[in-house]
Amino acid sequence: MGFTLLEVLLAVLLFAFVMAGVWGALSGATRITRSTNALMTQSEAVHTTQRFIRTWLAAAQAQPYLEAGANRSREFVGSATKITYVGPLPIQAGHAGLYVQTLELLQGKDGGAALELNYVPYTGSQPVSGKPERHVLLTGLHGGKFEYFAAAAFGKPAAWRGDWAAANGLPLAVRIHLDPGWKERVAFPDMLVRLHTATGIGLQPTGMTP
Amino acid sequence: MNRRERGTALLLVLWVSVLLAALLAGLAAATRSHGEAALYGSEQVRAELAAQAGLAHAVAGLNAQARSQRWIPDGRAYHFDFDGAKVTTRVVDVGGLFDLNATPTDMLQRLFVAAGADSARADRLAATLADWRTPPTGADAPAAHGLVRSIDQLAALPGMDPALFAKLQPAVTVFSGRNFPDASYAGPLALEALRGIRAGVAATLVRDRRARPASVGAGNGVAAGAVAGGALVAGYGGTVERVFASAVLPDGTRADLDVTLRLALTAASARPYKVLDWRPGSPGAP
Repeated sequence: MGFTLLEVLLAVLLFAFVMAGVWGALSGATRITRSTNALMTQSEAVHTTQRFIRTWLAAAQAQPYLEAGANRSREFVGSATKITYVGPLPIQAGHAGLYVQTLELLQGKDGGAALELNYVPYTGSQPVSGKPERHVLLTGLHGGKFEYFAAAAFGKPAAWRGDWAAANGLPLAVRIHLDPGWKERVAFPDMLVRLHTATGIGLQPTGMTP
Repeated sequence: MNRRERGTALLLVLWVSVLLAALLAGLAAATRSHGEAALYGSEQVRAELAAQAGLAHAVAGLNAQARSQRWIPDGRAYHFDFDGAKVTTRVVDVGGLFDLNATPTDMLQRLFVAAGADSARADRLAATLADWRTPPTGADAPAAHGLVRSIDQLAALPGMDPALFAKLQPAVTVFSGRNFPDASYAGPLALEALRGIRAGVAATLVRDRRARPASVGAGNGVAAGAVAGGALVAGYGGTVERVFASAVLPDGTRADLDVTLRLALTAASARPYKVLDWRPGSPGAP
């Protein structure tokens, strides 16, 4: 009874091969699980952000608000990386009333960009005051831009423009394009949000510049 | 091979299989829950679009040429199926709602009582709202904001709570300009406050009115103090209407829409209506 040295060595070698295969399979499976989870988390974040914007930016109202220190009120201000508007927020989140909301694409120190929402309660004709509540909606972006669909003048056909500087009124629609910088293969489809109460015509402080 | 050592390979293989299976099961569960979330998201969009179809349907109904086809904006329910969704739409003429800017303080107090506030609290709320809507005249009127521009601002009124706001919001507007609602279009809560009658009586009156056909020319000049128990008849409303649309899919996914719109007076207009107020996910028609 017993084994020769050769038999034992062979057995150990075989066992090592088997274990290497097993380890490879296990670590591969773990890697797949981890990357799939990351993918799902990222696409969940994109869905949630898009859903929020589609519902609540679309409900923006043409209400004049006054920035602290400003000498004239605005209803909607849009630039390539920032939108400020007045609208409600989901009541389930414990909010009440109207808020002056800002969606902003912020450049971080590491070169990446983040999409942020911040809001303060709407105070009618009183200047906006109070510390804004901030929420980061998406991180890990390369950049992006916002565009506005509106007529350059009454009776003219509407066209896309890079900003909305009118003292009153809302653009008909907002287009949101973001460049994802995250490594997961999750796209951020371009969003076209129709502002339901908009007229698409506003009084531009320095004349209409389409 | 030793009898006792026989089967170690089998054990090893079994263990590895179990480990791999556990990992894969975890992955499958995560993928499935993600798939379900995505499905829920797309179903939610479907329901929202069906509710918007309800809005378009209501505009067509309000503009119908034949009087027998025309919708009656007194809060009665109209049902139709759209892409598998059951859509229920109710239209309320803003004349049947309490205007937050025009309603006198005593009438506001009755409205808050009808919505469930006790008398002292209703007094306070009515007074606060009256102060709020006073045009600001400088530093001496810190509570004054001027016009109430949106019914959502009522939720931010000091002393208001979400439950009371939820009861009030279907019965109020900022678009009618009337100092009291028209009983021909009022919902149960508004009618209860308007006529000072019990909730049950108001509900019966409204239910009976919604079962009756409309009458041309009705809906004008029905005074606040009209016979408390008298039967009501609806008219065909004005041009500013509040539309409550809700869509329910077979799997129970639901979307609600609450839109106030002004109908175009000319049929040839490029836009048949203009949206004055768009409130997503706001359930509960009066």
